[in-house]
Amino acid sequence: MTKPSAWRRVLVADALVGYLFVLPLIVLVLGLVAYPLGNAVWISLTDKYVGYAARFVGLGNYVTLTRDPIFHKVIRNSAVFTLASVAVKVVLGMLMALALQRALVARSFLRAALLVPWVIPTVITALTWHWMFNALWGFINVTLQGVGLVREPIAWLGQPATAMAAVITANIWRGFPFFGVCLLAGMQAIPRDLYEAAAVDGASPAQRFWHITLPGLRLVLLVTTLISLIFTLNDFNIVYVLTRGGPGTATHVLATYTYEVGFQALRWGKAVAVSMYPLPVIAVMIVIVTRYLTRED
Amino acid sequence: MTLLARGLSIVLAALLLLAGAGSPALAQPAQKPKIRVWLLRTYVPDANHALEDSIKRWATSKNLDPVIEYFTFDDIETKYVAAIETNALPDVGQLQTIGPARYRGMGRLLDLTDLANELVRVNGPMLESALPVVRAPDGRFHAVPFNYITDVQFIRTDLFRKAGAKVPTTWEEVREAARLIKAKGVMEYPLGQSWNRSADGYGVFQALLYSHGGGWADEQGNYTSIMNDTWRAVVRWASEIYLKDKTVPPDAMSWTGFGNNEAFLTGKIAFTFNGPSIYYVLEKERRPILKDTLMAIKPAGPAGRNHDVLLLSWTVFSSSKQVDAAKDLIRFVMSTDEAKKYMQQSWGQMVPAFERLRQDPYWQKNESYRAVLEAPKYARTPGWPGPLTAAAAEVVATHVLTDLCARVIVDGWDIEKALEEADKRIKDIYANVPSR
Amino acid sequence: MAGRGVLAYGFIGLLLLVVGVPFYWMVNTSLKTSAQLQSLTPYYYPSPATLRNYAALLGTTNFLTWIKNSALVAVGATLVTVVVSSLAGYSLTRIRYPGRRVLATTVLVVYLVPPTLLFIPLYTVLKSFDLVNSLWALLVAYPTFTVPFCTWLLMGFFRSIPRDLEEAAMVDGATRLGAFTRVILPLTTPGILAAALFAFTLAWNEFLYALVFVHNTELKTIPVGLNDLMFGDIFLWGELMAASVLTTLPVIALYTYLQRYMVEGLTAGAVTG
Repeated sequence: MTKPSAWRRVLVADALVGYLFVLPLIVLVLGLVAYPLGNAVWISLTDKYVGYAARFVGLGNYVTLTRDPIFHKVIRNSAVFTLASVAVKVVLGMLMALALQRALVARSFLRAALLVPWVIPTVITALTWHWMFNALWGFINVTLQGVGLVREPIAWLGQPATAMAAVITANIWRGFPFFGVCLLAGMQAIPRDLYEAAAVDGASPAQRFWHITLPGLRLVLLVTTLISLIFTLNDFNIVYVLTRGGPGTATHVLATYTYEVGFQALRWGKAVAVSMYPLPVIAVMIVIVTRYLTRED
Repeated sequence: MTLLARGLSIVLAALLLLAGAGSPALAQPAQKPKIRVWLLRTYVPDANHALEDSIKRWATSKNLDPVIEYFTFDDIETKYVAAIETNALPDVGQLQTIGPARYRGMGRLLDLTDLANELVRVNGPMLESALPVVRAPDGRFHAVPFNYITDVQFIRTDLFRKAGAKVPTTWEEVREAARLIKAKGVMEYPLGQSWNRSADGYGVFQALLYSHGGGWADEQGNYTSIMNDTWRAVVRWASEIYLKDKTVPPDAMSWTGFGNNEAFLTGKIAFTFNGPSIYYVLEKERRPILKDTLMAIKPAGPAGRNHDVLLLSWTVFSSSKQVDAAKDLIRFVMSTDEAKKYMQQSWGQMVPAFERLRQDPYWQKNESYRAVLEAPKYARTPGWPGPLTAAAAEVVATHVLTDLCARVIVDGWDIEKALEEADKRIKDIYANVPSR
Repeated sequence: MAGRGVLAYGFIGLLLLVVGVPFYWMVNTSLKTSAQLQSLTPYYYPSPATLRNYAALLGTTNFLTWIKNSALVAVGATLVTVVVSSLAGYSLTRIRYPGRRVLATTVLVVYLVPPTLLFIPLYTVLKSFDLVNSLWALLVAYPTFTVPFCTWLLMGFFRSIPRDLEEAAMVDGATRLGAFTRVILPLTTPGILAAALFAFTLAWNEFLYALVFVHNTELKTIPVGLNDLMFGDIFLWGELMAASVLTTLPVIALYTYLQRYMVEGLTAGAVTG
């Protein structure tokens, strides 16, 4: 047993080690990004036009956006795109992880093979899906018409609903391996004897999943989902290459709208305001998950 | 611990490699002064090499080191915006059509009036249609023309013959030809015209609009309302080919730049509007349908032939420390001999703006080449009949025109409502363009 | 037991099909000339297959240079990321000190502004350190978006390990660092490998920073190089897809090897309580 003052010294030493471990992160990330972030926030409060000096306008950009019907559409599209994609990716990734855990033959190869969508350069993925969805000579229609399931070519990318489904499909295809790999890694950290004990008790696979796997994966699942939500919300290439936000504004999302306003209209202040718009929602999500993650045991 | 040691040695090795590989500039001491040039990487490698060659020969004779960096059609905006905001502009750069109008207002471009006059003395007058692009309303030149990439009609003459259709000379004839080819069963979706977020969309729409005498600015360049019958007729034309005639492929509205190229090359459409790039592929790869492909000047409307423009130009940035050398580079590359060398390697894709170059027999090769040569005469800049201003450039760059068509075709709005939205957007742009 | 095994393999087969069809399409395209592609017959296979696109890619472009640059940057960024984020992730979840919750939250704050808007001020910062126009710019810039994400990922993994394991080690006289490397790391190897994989692929596929921070043609990375195969309305489809195949397969092969070596090899000996 140690005396109280010695215990305090150990705690302080321990805390110092804690700060030391986290120092590289602070220096590298926060140090480097603090200025750009602050700059971005400032710019969103100005009428900055590329090539001209910025003038302060307060919340003017945000107010204009709130009244802009195209921006409303962009927000709606982004919400649909992000939520639908992430939801399916979670499910697909979970199933992939469960299946891979059970697979013993060629396990390493299978795990790597299913990673292919994640590794291929995104622009190529998007171009490939653009071809697959083409109404007149795309793989999907040619095959469907070839086997006689469909008579008239389906204009996948020509109608708002199917175009949205198409970009979501491409995003899911590219993104599900991320969940698969993370969840599989999470599953491998769950102690084997929990499963053995449950099997002895006669629990069904579904019960084992619900009572052992899922709780054990809770944190990894939470973190992975949050990260995916953020990345999907900011996804540019897939939408831009597949539809450019079209037809019309049917698949215009935050990332493509930001690009248009910033690089094509040259209205930088407004562009930053666009991308800052979801900040409150994301910030809340981050705070909630952090609380969970840094909770005392 | 072996794993840790192994890991650390990998880190060290990687970093050493990077250090060695990442700093080639440190290896050689700086010798000749550098001159930075930004060029468009066109799809004609022969032409790109010819231009590079020209520049390098000039640089050697001046004892300068040319640093050539390329941008593409897709990242030109990104690169220029980044360069402007970080003060990293090159000495000499090529600009797209709206470049001079946008950047001169920012004070980034040098006054090149002398150089322009010199080039006219050497190469003959430049086409009228080039003037609004490179010359400001006050008469000063901030850029000099390089080449047009002309938008024309691509016609499959064999399919037209089969259906008994004639090459359209008016916009109404375009619709008739498409309807006829479809009715005769020769092709299900004959016309490949998309109102999308690319030059195929907003370029052709402007050609349609201006040929009908329509516009969103007056001759002084101020905004005028678009709620009039001309615009209604134009939007009706644009939407009815989809909704009524159904002569356009059903997913054409989300084609990106290469959509109509591929559709034409795969024989899925009978005609389209595009730059000469389709012809380049046909000639370069000696495709069978080359003999049945004709390039023709775009059609006329009630107000005559008033089409869109894609003109590449040269400029010198005011931040350059070598203004005289920069101007000399342009002078050299655009001298008659050098420009003709370039032309010979261009596969007919880049059309000169200067008379002496245009008169070269290179362009009399066949009817298609002649059409490409002739077409820029009818080019009008965005904001016609007014001058090309930053506001007009923004109207085009933010896809107001094609969104207008999309509202009717895709979202099912009626024309009046769509016009009102577009009208408001244009009005807002003109009210908020920087003039400081 | 066997029934569920069949289900698992059946589902994997389905996933392989889903993954395989578009990938097959890429390979198919890479083995066709553009004339074959645009003749549309035959459709599903190249006839004859040709390696011309691969030859053109390797011969006329700087493809190998792009790969070298991408590999250097990706490996470097991954190593930095793994070290920084595992230390930070461990500290934020398992050591107690004031302000850790705030730190954990701000780490992800970086993602609130996308790179498209961050890159201009970031360029200015890098320029002030004279890093611009060298691969160092990317090596420094890439961790700004890989580290937060990997830190959070590893926080999730670290959090799942019971506290008593390292407390046992520390009572036995180990330091924090010792407990970290000898007790925690081996248990979270799958997680670390996952984080490394994601850091690597994010760096491997990053486009905007590589386009803007590096002008030198000798220093192009793969995504920027791919740009050279696309010209507005003319795309060199065969070469693009050949590039896609050649950049994907090595990464997959590497990951297979690492999987077998790191995960299977190390966790086999780990203590699981």
